[in-house]
Amino acid sequence: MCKATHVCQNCGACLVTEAIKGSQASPRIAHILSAGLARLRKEGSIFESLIVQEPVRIFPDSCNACGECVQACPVPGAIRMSPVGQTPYIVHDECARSRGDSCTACQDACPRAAINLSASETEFLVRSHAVVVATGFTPFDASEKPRFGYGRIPGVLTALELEDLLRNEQFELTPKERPIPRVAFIQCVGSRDAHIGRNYCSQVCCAYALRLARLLKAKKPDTEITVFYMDIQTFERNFERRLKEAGEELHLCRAIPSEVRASAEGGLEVLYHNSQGTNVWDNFDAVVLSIGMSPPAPVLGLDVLGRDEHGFFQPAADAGVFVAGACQGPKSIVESMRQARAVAERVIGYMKRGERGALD
Amino acid sequence: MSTTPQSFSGESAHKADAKDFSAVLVLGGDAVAVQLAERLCEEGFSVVYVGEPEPIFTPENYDGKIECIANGVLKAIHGVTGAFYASVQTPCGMVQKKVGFVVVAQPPMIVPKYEAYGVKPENKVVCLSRFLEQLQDGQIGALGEADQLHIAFFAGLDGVADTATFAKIFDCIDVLINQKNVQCYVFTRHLKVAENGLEARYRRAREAGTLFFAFEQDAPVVEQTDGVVKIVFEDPHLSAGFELAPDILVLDEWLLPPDSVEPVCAMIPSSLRSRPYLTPPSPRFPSVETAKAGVFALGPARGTFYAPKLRDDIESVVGSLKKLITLTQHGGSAFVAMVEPEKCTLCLTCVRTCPHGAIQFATSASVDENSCQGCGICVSECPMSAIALAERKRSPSDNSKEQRRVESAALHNGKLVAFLCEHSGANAYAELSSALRALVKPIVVPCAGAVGEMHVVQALLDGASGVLVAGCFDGNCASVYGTNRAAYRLALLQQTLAEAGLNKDRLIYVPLASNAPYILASAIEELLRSTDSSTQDSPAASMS
Repeated sequence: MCKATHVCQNCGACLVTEAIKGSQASPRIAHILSAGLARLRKEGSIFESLIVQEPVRIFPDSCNACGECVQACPVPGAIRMSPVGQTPYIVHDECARSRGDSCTACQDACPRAAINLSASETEFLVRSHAVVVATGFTPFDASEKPRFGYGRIPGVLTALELEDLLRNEQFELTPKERPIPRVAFIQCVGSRDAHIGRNYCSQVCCAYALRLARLLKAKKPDTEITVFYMDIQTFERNFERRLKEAGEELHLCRAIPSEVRASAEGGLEVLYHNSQGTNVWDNFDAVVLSIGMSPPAPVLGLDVLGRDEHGFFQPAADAGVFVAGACQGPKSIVESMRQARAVAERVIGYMKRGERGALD
Repeated sequence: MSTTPQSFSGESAHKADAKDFSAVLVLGGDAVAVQLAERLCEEGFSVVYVGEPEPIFTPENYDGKIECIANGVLKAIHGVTGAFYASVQTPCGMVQKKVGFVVVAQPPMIVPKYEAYGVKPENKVVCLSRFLEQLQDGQIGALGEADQLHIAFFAGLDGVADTATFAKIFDCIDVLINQKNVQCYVFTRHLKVAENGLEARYRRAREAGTLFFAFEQDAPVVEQTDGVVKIVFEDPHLSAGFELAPDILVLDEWLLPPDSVEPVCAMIPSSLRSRPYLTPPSPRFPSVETAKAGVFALGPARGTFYAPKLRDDIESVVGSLKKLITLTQHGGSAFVAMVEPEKCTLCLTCVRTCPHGAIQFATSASVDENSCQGCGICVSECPMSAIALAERKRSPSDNSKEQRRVESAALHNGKLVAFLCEHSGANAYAELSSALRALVKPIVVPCAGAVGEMHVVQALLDGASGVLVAGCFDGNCASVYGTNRAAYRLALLQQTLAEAGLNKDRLIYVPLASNAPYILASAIEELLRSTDSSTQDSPAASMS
């Protein structure tokens, strides 16, 4: 989502949308979406990948994005309009059919017969000279830090969830104890935390939390926002100016709370060690957890890749396999794009140098 | 404006020269630039290396392909990609060089923070770079044989710090923790560990006994009397006052872009927004590319000081050079600006406002085809209407641009007309509901900055009930300030409409992003509301 207030906040999210569209428009890039690697083999200098694609239930070429299917679906959120591109998509786990139901409401509602719910998996055998792994990161599961009450106490949400709510204009606060709604951001949830084996900085959370907090402030100026942090990380040029601006709108508090609990009035209470050296319980109406980046999920068939001590992919020892983006270590959008350029150049260099066998 | 007179001197003399994309000027000064020069040679470029001190190249491999101007300093440069003319000051006088590309790959300027901390340099007070050198030369260990050696580091207590600074401090501590009787202290505001591996290094330093103090406001005070250095501070956790008399106080440094950026910036009008760096402060410029074709910034020149990242920058430069050569052969942007020489009065408005530094002049202004991004800012800025956007020659199958022009010429019949930047507005428009799309006549433009007063007035004359200009958010414009030009012009036009007694709310300027169609949707709704009241009197009639 765009996090600009009156000026661009340099998050780079728009560039992702644009890059996806650009890639889709390129005649030299084949896309196999909703698909996974089942097997990777190397013969000589040629890689052979077996790709399994989830059933394509909605055909982009027939779909006109009228939204009838979304209206017709009895399960909210099971079929959604895509934030990029025109075609809606089915969220498999939400769909009633994943629980054995025989519902065909969306298929029946489609005026253009673009939906085929009984489609089946497709397999592709792809032969290539090089393989680039850019599987990204896994968002930290905030319930791994039970003290913050995520998934247990209403009103505790992750920054990703807040972003979603803000995008859909659904973030509503009802102040429980004071006339002014109060929101707390807690930084470093799943980052810089050796107790849970995350002895690294996720690099993006300071920036995204401050952007989200300022966007929230811009949308709802009467909200009081406190950001609990350990250290604010540098995220771009003019950092000091940006931090100063943020400090004027938000209350920055150097402390990581030790507990979040529900208050008797229905709000939230946050326990932290304040600058006077005492433990205090403070009241909030929502607590936003700035979750970090966890290593990528295992990729079947990619045992050629080593993992570092935290589980991120290490550069491959095998010639011809390249690693890019946040699967290699936390990275912002802009950093990923910057690095992608360099990796692309390395791939091209490898292809030029290497003894290239014929693909067929 | 940023364009200095000397950057255009001798323009006509060089005009006839053919372009040559084989030579690269590398402004260097350390191993990174040497590595870059060698990489470029591998790729078949020849390199003019300017920098000090004299670098060490692997000589036999690059016979004649690297020309090294040691102890040279770039004094001035002008031209466009394929034909840059650089004046380099050397101990033996000025040297002139013609190159196809320029890469600023110098190490940062490193300025110790003595003054910022109110401390005088002396035996016991050193800056970080010097201290690391001393450590690596084994000069510090000897001191430690006495009692315990206390070493204090200041890092970013003035509020300015970089991960590169902390990496250097951890380098020092890594050496020191292997020595007996050394106690390290780090005084800072924010620990900068946002690079892979830094947090683990911080933890290792802490576990080895280094004490870290992070301050909010009240930074430590240094007292220097008769060779004794004393740090007076209040422990942020214990809320108690302490004094520490370290044997060595190590001060951090400002990391600044190299000075050679300045003459290069002078070629790029939009560098007003990026100085002292060379790349605009925008996510649209995430890598080594600058607003001007053929000019690249590596590491410090673009504001990145953390050394491991520079390896990527080297590859990106190589890739960008090759991409630019491909573009010069197969066209680049969809449009290119063309000057009608007989209309040009040499007012140089275009030269000053072209964000990409693509316009040169001799007897009239002329646009360099390889540098022009087709944004159209010069077209709307030119007071003589002497510049127009033309389509680049492309493959015959690509006729989408042709359709645009036909659309824009059609009459609007009371509809809203939306000028949409192709980077943001056009994408956002495509995401709108079909009902909303139907209310608007879209005209895709290469940049909101291309929309001139006359375009807007013409749309109203052609029967538009309202006009909307959708550009990128300030800070996200691919032409750096095109969106600001559009906002400024629209505001002026609104004022003119108001003075003429017309409804100024029939014009609206919307900054948005390609992934924010909801902003466009609400702007259209707002425009509908404000034009609703004014539809009684025919818009076309009221304008004419």
